Amino acid sequence: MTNDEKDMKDGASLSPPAGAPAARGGAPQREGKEDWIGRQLRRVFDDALNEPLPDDIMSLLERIDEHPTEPTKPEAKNG
Amino acid sequence: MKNELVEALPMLRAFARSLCGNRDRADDLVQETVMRALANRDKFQEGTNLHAWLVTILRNQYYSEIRKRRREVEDSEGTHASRLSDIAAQPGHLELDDFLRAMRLLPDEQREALVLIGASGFSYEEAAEICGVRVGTVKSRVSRARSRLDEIMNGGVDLPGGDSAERSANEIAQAMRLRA
Repeated sequence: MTNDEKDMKDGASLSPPAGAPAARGGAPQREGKEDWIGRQLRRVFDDALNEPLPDDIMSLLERIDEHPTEPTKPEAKNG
Repeated sequence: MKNELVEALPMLRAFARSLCGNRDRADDLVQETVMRALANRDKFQEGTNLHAWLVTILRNQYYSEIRKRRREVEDSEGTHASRLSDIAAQPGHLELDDFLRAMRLLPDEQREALVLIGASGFSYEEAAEICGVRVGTVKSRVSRARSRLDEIMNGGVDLPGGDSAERSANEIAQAMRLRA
């Protein structure tokens, strides 16, 4: 059951990512501290979710098209 | 696979950052994960959960780095404090700073379970598969993580000791002065 939801979600993940945590079915809404924990968790998570991806990761992905058969060596990481 | 991968990256990055508490390290983990995913893409079964697969790769990478670092590093206290303040540096994040520090006090596997269930949108079943444990184990980790955080945030446990705690306290005080 959750797999179906997940697949749908995956397929639809172009939609605003901030909606993803809310789409989760299971967790009961509880009051107080626990809810506070959940809010902080999602805050950290959503902050990262909404940031644009860094260039080096994007350029890594660009290479998938350039080298469809040999994507394993994007560029030796310095250091 | 590329489009799906691109779509999954924000989630992956958010998971990485929640797990390790550090922007740069999280991005390194994501980059490493992308490379591994591409190198092993023939092992991914179409129709299965790509997000879960990627998160599995990332957390394996994370834990293997931790094992490596444990052998090497003694400087963690100092760099730790600066990492956390990196995320918490923005105004309005003071509460978050406490939360992030409290998160660091959790055992990795508890923090991981909490992030998978509490923020990443994975089901308990998916989280269990990602972590290679039983569903009951995930549930108990989440529950222990929550009570531990409760305890910490209620002042029952000291936040990380010594230098780093003092530094963080100074940072908080400084930030509050700036906001005042």
